[in-house]
Amino acid sequence: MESSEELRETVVIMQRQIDRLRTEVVHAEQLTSALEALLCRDEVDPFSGVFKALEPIFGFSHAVVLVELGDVDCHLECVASQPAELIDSRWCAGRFFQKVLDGRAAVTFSNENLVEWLDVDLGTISKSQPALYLPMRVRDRRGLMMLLRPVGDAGFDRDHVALARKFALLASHAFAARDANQSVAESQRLLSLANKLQESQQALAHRANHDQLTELPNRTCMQELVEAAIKNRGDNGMIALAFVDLDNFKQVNDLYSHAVGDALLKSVAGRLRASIRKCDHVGRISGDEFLILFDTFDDVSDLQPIAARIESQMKRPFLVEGIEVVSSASMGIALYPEHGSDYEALRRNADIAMYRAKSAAKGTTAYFDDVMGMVAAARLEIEQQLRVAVRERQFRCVFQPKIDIRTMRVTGFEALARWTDCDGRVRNPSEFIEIAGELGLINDIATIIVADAIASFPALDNAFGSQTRISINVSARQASSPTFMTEFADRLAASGQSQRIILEVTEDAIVAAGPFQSLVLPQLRRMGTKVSIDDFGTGYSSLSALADITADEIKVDRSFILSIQDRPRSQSILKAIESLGNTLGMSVVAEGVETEDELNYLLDQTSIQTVQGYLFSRPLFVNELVKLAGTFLTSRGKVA
Amino acid sequence: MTKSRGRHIMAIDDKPAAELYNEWIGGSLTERLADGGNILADTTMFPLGIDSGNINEVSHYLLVHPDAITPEGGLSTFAEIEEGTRIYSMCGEKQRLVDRAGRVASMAAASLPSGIDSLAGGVVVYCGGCMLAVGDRMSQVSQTVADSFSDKPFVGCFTFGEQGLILGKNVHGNLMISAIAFGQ
Repeated sequence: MESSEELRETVVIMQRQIDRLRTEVVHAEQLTSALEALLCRDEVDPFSGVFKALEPIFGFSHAVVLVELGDVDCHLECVASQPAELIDSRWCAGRFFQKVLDGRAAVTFSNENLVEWLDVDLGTISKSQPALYLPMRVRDRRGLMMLLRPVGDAGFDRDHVALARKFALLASHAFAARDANQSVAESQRLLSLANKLQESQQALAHRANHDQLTELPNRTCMQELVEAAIKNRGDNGMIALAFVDLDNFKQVNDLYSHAVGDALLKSVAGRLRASIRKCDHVGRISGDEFLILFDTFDDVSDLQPIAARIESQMKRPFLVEGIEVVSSASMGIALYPEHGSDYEALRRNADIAMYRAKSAAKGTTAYFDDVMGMVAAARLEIEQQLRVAVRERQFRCVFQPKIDIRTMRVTGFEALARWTDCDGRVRNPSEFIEIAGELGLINDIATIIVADAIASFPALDNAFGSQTRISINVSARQASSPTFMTEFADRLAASGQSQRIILEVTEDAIVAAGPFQSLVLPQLRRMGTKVSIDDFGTGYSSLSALADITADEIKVDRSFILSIQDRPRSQSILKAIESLGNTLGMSVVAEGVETEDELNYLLDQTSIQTVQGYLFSRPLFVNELVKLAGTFLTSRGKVA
Repeated sequence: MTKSRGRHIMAIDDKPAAELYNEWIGGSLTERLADGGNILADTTMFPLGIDSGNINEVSHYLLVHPDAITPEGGLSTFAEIEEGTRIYSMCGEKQRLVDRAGRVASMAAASLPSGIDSLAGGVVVYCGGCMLAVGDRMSQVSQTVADSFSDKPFVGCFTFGEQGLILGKNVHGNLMISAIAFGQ
């Protein structure tokens, strides 16, 4: 599969095949009913049963059966009609009828120009009715069946013609069978046809309702099974739906091959089938997702050993294509009616429980509960709000000042994202960044924040002078995306303020992001944008890796600054970082300064010049911050 | 999309539509933004998409082709998009436009009630915008269709603004490639 376009086409083709198979199954059942009506010997007028059986298939308002009289003028006689007013009427057999009598099924949108209709007293029937004609041999006489739709209705289509052909053939043989003098050969042929029809019907039903890879029931079939189980449930029995999802299946496909992945799915299907009871059903609904219907049990405690068995079976290594694959499956279970009154609700809630199980520990099982429901609903709500927020650009910057503690002047600001929602509530990144990342909105938010930060320069310059810089955070994922970073750099360049921006990236991101160092950093350097290593000391970068990083600033993580005056080990680490910074030509910034004691230690015992923290100011919107401009110069200008 | 009227998109995310669209497609229209005018051939590979629904959680998109930058900085398109609709920036490749004609023809032939062996011939409707983009490789388009139709005769036509089948509904869209197969 080379593109999403081909994936879409394949899905459409598969859906068409499934729809066609299901339609054919229904039609085969209906044709069988019609055939049985014809074969019913007790029926005086077999056609009334046939019309009744065919009506749902073809959707007609009138039906007429004509058979050859055998006279020299080649007339046809009406032997059955619904309504009955046409019975015994005579029709001439023109060229069109002759073709039908010879075995062709045909449709007309109107019969105005057919000579066959000219001399007939039609009663309530109109020549303008769309018609379907099918050949029909009634015992030893040739004939035809005519099905008519009301004037103005859509005509019959090619599917109707195909179906009519099948029925015409079967019906002609059925009439032959009704004849007491039918030959042994005819009798056997009819029997053979009926058997073939039944086999074909069964094969079609199987294909329409089963997954071709694992032979398990498919999504549609599982839905029907669950709905039937709900309908047939006794007063006391319980039903449950389990959602099973293989852990790390994508890695199996990526690491080995899709052939191994497919073989694994077949093995999983086999083990799931072997782990459940005879009364339960397991189906595959997509990729690596399975559903199990537990039907029925008396108490949840009956379910637990089965769930435990499934868990344990999924953890046993699978030997597929000569490779031992170690996998597991996470499972979520929803109970009926406690957790949902229909298939959709049960499946959704079992899915939610499965995600809970997977996020807690892969290879485990979780039962749905109300808290999960509330969390899921809240999550859905925040997802929708977040999409609206991006569309309506509800994100703005707050700024935390960076202070030169030797002069008590503001040298810059760290820009941080805030989301002001429709209700005016200001939300911190902890409430939305993770979800935004999952929804693929993080770059949109970053773009809005960068634009807002740049737009704030004039107001900040008025209050703090034009020598300040703004630090903007970039996530590890963004730093490792050349596309995002190039666009980001282009935006900064276009703003004309690139020399006043400091890009903050974590040490892990900067070390891991190869393209960042080789492609993006040179561009930033040309633009005059500085680079800062954020949260320094909390990552895993080695000193050798640090030697390769051409950054301008190190921000010491707040965990080292916390009560530093009382913590000799933190003091030693800070000294080492300071020394490192001096050696590599990077300035050192202390983050999270919250107390006078911490500040005094930094002033007296280190050469660190720049700090930020709540001791001076919490992050503020630009309009709040400019009001405090003068206060930073007065006795350490603390802002609450 | 925040502002539109008929086949004229005026603003996307509250920005002038042409400016934002130009950003999306990598700035290839930057020199055209000031003067506006016809951009039909430049945008065939970068249509706008509208989510038309999904099958088995796979989204399907209706494509809309921007044909000109208007004097107001908006985008004129070959199909209407209702204000407030979420639009997607799509991208394509010349080779896919060549291959797709063959795949569409194959799908049409395969859908014949009596199977592909009953194929008598067909009609292929190929978007005029795609034809302009494919340029001198149109003979390859023709060949892929001929291969898919087992060298049975077919007629091709080039259109601007097509009616096509998406998820079981006939809709007006752009950059469509459709095929009808006739059985014997």
